[in-house]
Amino acid sequence: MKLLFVDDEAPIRRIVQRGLGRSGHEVILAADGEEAWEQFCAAPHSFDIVFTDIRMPRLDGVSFLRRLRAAGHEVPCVLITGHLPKEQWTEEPGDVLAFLEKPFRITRMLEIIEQIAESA
Amino acid sequence: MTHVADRYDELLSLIHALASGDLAFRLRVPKAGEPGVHDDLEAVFLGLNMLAEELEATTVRRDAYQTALDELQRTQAQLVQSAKLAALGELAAGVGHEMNQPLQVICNHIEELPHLVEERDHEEILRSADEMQDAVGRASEVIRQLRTFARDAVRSEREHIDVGAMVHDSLVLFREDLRVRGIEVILDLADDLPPIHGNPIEVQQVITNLVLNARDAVTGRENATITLRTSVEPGAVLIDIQDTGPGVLPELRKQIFNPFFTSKSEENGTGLGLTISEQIMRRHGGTLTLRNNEPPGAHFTLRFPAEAP
Ligand SMILES: Nc1ncnc2c1ncn2[C@@H]1O[C@H](COP(=O)(O)OP(=O)(O)OP(=O)(O)O)[C@@H](O)[C@H]1O
Ligand SMILES: [Mg+2]
Repeated sequence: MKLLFVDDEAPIRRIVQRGLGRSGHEVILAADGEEAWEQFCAAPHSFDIVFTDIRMPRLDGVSFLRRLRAAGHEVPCVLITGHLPKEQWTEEPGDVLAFLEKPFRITRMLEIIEQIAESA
Repeated sequence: MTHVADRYDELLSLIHALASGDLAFRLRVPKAGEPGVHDDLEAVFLGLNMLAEELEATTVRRDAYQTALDELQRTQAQLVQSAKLAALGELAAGVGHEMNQPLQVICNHIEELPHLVEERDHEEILRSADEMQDAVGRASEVIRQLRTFARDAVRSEREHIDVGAMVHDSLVLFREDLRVRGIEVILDLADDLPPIHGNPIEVQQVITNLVLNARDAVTGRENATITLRTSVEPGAVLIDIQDTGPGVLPELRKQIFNPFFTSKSEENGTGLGLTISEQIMRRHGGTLTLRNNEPPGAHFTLRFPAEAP
């Protein structure tokens, strides 16, 4: 599976890429929403799933997701939430596959990826 | 037959009654046609009764005012309390966010460690150890700051405050929040600043209020920057907080210090931040002023009397 993983913390990006890579997944990294949008647009139909943090500089995760949906991309998305509880959102971020709460485990990411693979 | 002398006693009883607070006391005024009363005296009695009436009514009004005033004071106390609670909520959210990032790093490294050991990737193991160490450092700094905060909160007496350290510490809890919003913080702290004398928790509250206002003002703007500068003048220590936000309109320069003046939505501002900060500064013998617009942005100055050497 090919994933896009978006988080502004470099060590987290590196570990996640290595951890998921070990299970044979290709992980493309981005440090914020803008970078994620560029990476996604470079090969829009190649991604099977997107994991994105919410709080990031420049473009946050929810805005990135909205931009994806507005452009008609239906790729499944998982939102990673820091301290912001879901109830605090004033606007629905659009269709979200799952929420991952920080701190999360890589094994939890693998479970979600597996679900996607099964339903595909 | 009524004599003037009889009524003289009555007159005295009225005066005594009123003086001792019995405002319901009234003189008996004979009905028309009742015999033996001097007409002019009767008019005086009627007048006195009216006076007593007025006195009683005024007292009732005063009591009503007092009740309203008490009520107002209670409401105000409650509002200050809820402003404090809101600040506490902000603090909790900040701490949550500050702790999550390092916890995430540690959590993932620990999960990876068995694999790395199996793969005998020593270089990566050492790197993980380093990164975990950094994460622990970050988390401990947040906790250290929180401890100072908690310690200060239960202690209300005044002490010497190192203004530079306090500015630095006040930022710790918001560093992550500011970074995520893409806000650059410039610290320009003077060396050899004389200490000030004050209540640390209150001084910190003032700095926090101003930084949060600056944060709100620059969020989402190009070149979002907050500058904090400390300096010394004869007899005074200054903290300047300047931002690159839209600034304050000339006609609002006074109003922003009024209680409940806010341009923010209900959940984002109560409009008490500057009011409370100004009160705190006054209690410290200092001032909080909005500098004359040197565009761009707003520029607030805190002036504390320097501790006599
Ligand atoms: N740095 C600033 N730049 C521009 N406007 C500001 C700045 N600081 C304060 N203001 C204006 O002054 C108003 C009052 O500020 P104040 O801190 O008293 O209340 P608030 O921030 O709205 O709410 P809170 O009670 O949460 O602090 C703000 O709503 C804003 O309109
Ligand atoms: Mg404020």
